[in-house]
Amino acid sequence: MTKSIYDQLNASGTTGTNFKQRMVETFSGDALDTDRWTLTDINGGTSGSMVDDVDGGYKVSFSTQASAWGGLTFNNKRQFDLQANDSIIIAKRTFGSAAGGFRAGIANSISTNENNTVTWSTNTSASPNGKFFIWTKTEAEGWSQVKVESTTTIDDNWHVGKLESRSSGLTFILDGVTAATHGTGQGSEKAQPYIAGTGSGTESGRSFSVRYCEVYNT
Amino acid sequence: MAYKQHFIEWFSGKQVPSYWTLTQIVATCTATMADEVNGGMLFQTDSGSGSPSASLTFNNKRQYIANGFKFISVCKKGSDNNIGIKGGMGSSTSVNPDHHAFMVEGTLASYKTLATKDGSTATETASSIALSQDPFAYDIEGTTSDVKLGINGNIVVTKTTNRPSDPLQPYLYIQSRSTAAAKSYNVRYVECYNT
Repeated sequence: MTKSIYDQLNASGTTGTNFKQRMVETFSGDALDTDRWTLTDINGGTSGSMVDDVDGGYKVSFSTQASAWGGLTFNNKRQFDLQANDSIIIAKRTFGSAAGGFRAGIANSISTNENNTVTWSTNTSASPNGKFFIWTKTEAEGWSQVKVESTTTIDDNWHVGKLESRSSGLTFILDGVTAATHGTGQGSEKAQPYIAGTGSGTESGRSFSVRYCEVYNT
Repeated sequence: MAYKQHFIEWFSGKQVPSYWTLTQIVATCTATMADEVNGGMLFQTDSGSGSPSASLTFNNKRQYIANGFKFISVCKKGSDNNIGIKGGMGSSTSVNPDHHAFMVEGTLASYKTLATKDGSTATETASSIALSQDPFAYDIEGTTSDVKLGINGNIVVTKTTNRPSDPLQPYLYIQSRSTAAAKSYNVRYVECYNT
């Protein structure tokens, strides 16, 4: 007998109330699934394409514009709860010695105000000591930027980042190991997947790539 | 064992994927993604007269076998009770496909109901599960001997009469039962497969 995906994800008798929104994206195919995603050019200088390379996924590239900034969103269709979700994203930055990087997680806003955003970050311009870090900006914390660093130095390799967001706080798991925690809830706001990068300089060749994204409400 | 046709839809993203077709039966309805936590797809009618209604299907690409399928969905009606909804497997995009196995809710029925049609005769068997505006999961399984309706994991109707026999496609349907306001129906999950 063929089993349903539903039954493999849920305990028997799971009600409609307890079955929450989920999305899974493997970034495979000849083009970005634009029924699902928008390549949001948040501050200009952003382009993207599928990569013709083993395990390449989707690549977002930046022009030489200063503060080029953009990435992937649901264009403000926000079906996930900012403080009751898990997000799992496999991505890498390609910035070399240039400052910048990507942030991955979920966000209410897709503008430069970054309001109600909960992410893990590889942005060397914003990292206090050049380490992977939790980065948030939420109304629940008075719109201040919160940074909680791990002990792992930011690099240009592929990484698996998982953020567990709950009303009790955040856990950032990097490559399967708890890397940083923040013991404050982020507020019950609607949010969408958010994988976006920026660079403060004008160097050429800056980009990030993503090959997997999964988000679900808990 | 051969791997059989299997479809999963989470209704997550910026818009409804283009492999779904919205068919206006009585204008005008819309199918968009909800900007709401756990909102899924928002199926809505307008507030016009004549029972605005529509179906969302695969536009008659029918890859599922009537006596060997399972359909699973999670949904909820909007706040207005004057609405009829259907979900399940149908042989066409019309309001009453010649072959179908549907869960029926809203003012089209008195309880959550299993409706089937065998090509000519349509009949319904009601469960004892009350109509409601709460989210609920349901499943419909067609076998060589019966069609079963489950609600939140429990089988509530087993029906042996007037079962469909032609190939089927996923089918979602909304109908306004009054002109007082637009009606809505959220669907956050659909899965169907040949067993």
